[in-house]
Amino acid sequence: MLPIGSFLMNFLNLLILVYFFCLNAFYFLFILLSLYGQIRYRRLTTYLSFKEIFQFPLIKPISVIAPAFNESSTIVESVRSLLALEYPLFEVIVVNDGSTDDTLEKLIQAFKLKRKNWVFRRVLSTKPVRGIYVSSLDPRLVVIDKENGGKADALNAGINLARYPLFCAVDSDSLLERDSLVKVVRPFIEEPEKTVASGGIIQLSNGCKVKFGQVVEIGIARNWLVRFQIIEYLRAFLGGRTGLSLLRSLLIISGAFGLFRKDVVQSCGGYRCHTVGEDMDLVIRLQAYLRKNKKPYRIVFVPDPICWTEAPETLRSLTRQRNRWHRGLIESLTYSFSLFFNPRYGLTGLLAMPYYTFFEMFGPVIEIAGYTLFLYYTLTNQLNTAFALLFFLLAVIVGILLSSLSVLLAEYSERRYPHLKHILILFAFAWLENLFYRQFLAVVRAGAFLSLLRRKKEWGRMERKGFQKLT
Amino acid sequence: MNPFLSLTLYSLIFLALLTVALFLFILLRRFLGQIYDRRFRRICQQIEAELLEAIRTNDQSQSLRIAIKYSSQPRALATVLVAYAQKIKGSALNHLKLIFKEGLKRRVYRDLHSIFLAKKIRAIRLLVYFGEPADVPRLFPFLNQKPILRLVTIHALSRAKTPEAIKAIFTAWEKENSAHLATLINILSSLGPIIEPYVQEYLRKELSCDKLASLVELVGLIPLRSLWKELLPLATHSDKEVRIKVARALGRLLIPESYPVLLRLLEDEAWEVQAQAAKSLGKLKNPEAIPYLSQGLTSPFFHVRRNSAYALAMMGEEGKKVLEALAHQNKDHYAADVARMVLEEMVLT
Repeated sequence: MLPIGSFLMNFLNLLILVYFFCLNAFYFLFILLSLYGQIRYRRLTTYLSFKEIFQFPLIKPISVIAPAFNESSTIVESVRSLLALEYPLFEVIVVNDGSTDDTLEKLIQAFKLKRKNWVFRRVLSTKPVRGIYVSSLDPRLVVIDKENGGKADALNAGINLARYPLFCAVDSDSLLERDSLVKVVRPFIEEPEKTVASGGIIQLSNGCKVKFGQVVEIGIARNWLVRFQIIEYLRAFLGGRTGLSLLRSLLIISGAFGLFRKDVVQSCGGYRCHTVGEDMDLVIRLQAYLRKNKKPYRIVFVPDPICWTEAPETLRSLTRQRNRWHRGLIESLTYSFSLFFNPRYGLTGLLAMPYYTFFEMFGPVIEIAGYTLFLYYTLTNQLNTAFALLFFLLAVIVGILLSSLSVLLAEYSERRYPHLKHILILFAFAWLENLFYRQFLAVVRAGAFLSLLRRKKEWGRMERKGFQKLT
Repeated sequence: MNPFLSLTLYSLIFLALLTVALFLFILLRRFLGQIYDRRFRRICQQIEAELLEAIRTNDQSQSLRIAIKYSSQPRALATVLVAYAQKIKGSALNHLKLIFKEGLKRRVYRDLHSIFLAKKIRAIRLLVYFGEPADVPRLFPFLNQKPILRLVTIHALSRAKTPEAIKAIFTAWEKENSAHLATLINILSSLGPIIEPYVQEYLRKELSCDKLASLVELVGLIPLRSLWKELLPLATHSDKEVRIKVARALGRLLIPESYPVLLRLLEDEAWEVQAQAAKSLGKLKNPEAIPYLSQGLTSPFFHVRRNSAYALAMMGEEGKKVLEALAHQNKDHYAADVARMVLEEMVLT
């Protein structure tokens, strides 16, 4: 091998090793911080009555915005769940983003929608609105029917019509816990001048029993793919986001459930339509805007209000979803690249951006590079078998350890898995996840770079089964 | 044995043991949690039964006995007291206060300085219900602490209705920088009409624009109707925010004599003031405002148009006629659209 080739190989080896140690150090830090945060939060909320928050006269009303694209199987149940939320004053705006199925018809039928000639101010430009409907059964429900423009465009249309100073972006295929709004709004009451966004935990509803738009019995789906995703969600939300929030480095508030200050979002130009990761993109741009204008702000992850969402149950839809998520991550980070290692943006620029860029964006590429190198060394008989196997073993052990700790984190959450059988299943999948699922996801996520080059833009359609009803 | 194989084996055994340990920890935690909860519920039920007996017989010595007997169970005692404080009123509350004073007070004072946040919150929460006016100043330092402590403190202060407490809150408000103004207004508005003399006094003082605006907001929020005259000179204030708040407050106070002031504000240079004045004029329901409001519908500003249309709708039949005329004209399609929207909503309601 040429000296330059050998140098490059050694450099790549070193890079993979350093990457591996740094990534796991971060993960351990987040898990420990989250464990501390969860326990503390649980103790604090024992003595804090959320119902008393209702008594404050200046509590801000909320517009809940749910964009929907071909969500026919879950839309009615989801909207019922949204209308059943406990909050003094709120409205629900469902944005039908040019669905090609009978989403709108189902809504019209279930909620007796009547077409209205509403006039609103187009602060954010969107695709044309075809009609606005208001429910005759519950005037808090407004449905916007518009031409297809993507999720970001649909959310912008919802913001244009929103009457209240705070808006909560939710996925229309999700179910919110009844008191989730009053919990997620808490940071806005604690620090009304500083808080610009807050988000909550997303848990998977597959296998849970649903009644009147509420999860009444927590369960675990039989599908293995869903079980892997449960572990992944526990690690990401209970571990990652709680930890990043404690470090004031949160770059993402999930699009499935996030509360924002409308005026600040409007000042930033709303959601950017030319990206598939509109949720992360908005949070990064919000931080850039506020830092640039020297306005103190707070973006908080509340590890309590729970939003239930249906996970993909087939490899095909999971691949699509993850490809879309990773494309969104790449687009958001590259769009706001000026923040990268920029001290003017504080912790966002110095910690959050580098962390997301190195470990989240390039993570799968480096992982795939590691596997490729392993194959190359094996084929060219250069493999140091003992080292390679040891390294693989270490990676698997650390992975299992982190996943098992995430199961422990779940034990401290508000809606923990009730049966010990569930815990055993979760531990079993915490083991298996690191042997098959993780490698599969790395390939899918690395594939997002190729998709991006092909300029692929779509909602990432998913076949939905609908929520399992309690009989 | 091959060293690699043994290492793998040991690692897997270690991991398996760790997983089993974690599982056992969860199992044990749930088991102990259940035992603790059962015991806690039992103690709460005992306290509850004895407390109800004390209230029924109006026996203060029984309350004193409860305080002494359960002072070693502060969590259970506090839980029952807070639960009952939310449910009962009148002289029965004296029993709760007595139990708090004899059984928990000293511990609560100590907990206010605890290094544990949860203990501080519990202490503040107990002072919300059972504290005395003299306890109010103890809570002020918490307004500058962590957000969650501030939230609990705000709630505590909003229940303190003694003159000393109100004076202390106003002093804090005067010293406060703009960052916490909204929070303090939250507290003050919860106190209701009893703060009127203080508001009057401060309205006459030299205040910064943001403080003055928040004070005007307060007049409308409570509402303090007798202070409406104090607001009139502020309708010409140089700061836009103050004028907006005056327009809003007058709409809440609903004093018929404030009509000319609102009319002047409808012609303000700032569209935000115009929009707010239109809304308030609608609430005032003075039919003389109809021509001015119909003019508002042709404003270049969306919010002025919309608020004027809604204001006309509030005027009753006369306003509706104007809206119908505007809905059928072709000169200004923006005005026509807004008028149609509001007419449609009038049919709905």
